[in-house]
Amino acid sequence: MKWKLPKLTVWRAIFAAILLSGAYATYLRVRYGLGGATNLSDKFPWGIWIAFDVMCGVALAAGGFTLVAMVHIFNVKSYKPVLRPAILTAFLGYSLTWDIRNGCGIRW
Amino acid sequence: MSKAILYDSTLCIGCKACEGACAERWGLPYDDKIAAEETISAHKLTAIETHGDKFCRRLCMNCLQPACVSVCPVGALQKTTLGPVTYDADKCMGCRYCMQACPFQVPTYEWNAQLPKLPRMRKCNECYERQSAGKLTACAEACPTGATKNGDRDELIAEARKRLSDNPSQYYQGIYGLKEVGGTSVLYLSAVPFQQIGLRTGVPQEPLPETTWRVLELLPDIVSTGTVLLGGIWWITNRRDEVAKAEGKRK
Repeated sequence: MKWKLPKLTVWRAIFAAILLSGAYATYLRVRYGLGGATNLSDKFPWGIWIAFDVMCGVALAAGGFTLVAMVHIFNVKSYKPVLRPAILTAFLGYSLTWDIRNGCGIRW
Repeated sequence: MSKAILYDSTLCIGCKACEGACAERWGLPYDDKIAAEETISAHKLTAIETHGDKFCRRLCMNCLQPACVSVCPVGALQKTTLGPVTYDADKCMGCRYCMQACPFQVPTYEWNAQLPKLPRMRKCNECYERQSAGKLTACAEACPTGATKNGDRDELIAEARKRLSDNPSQYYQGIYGLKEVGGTSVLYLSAVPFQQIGLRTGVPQEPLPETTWRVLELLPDIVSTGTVLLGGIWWITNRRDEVAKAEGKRK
């Protein structure tokens, strides 16, 4: 069977660009250390992405929790169809915190 | 009975002997270039700042109720009963929460450490191993003028009060570190108001861990009442369904 290149749509191109830049950033982080990769200093020990994680990642996850509570605890059945996508987004929101692996000095 | 350091800015001549002794004690390099740096950093854990003709020595305040210890998620920082706040690099995961929490911006980080060397947080620990052996801190031992004095905190406070009342014209009437963030193990005396020698005077008078504790202590109540409340709602809403189903069958 011949292996075919997946069709390159606009969104796939955008996501590929994000993935590649992430891979490059990870390489910089490992190669040059935290200071060399992020230019953080003793006066600014945390980057803006920490606020982004807390505000966006955790907020997304909170939306998932709220919907689950609506459907399963308050028994609002009309929201049941959007339950699974909401849980998936919530999971993605929490998985944003994976950047702790790069943000911490010790990566494991 | 906790140990402390009394730093008298009026006695300091800016000779930087404390910096050299500190670097030697930590095994850090020290030369003229490093001596010229006026900020504490991962390779310089105490620094003499020049403010006009006044000097101010910066080092970890070793707070009585340290914010860094309360935020550390892995318990790498410990407040010892002797007074110093100690750091265990083997436990540290490098999250730098302590740097974010410290009201005096004391903890510094080895930003340029590259694998396989793991970056550590660095700060003065008031010569914990020397003080527990009954010795003076390296800086106090090295100080030629007695500007840095090491000893029991209560005795040093009494000593500072005596200096203030003996020479009221020479001193700004106040001891920095007596009440700041609930008290620190480094006390300052100065001829001018403390903000003029670069000390943060805007810090709260209450211990910082208490501000979060006021919220955190409510959590057991919120979790238990919340669980009971939501559980009850779940029981009622589901029972409504079950009753409707059972009644529908009966008809």
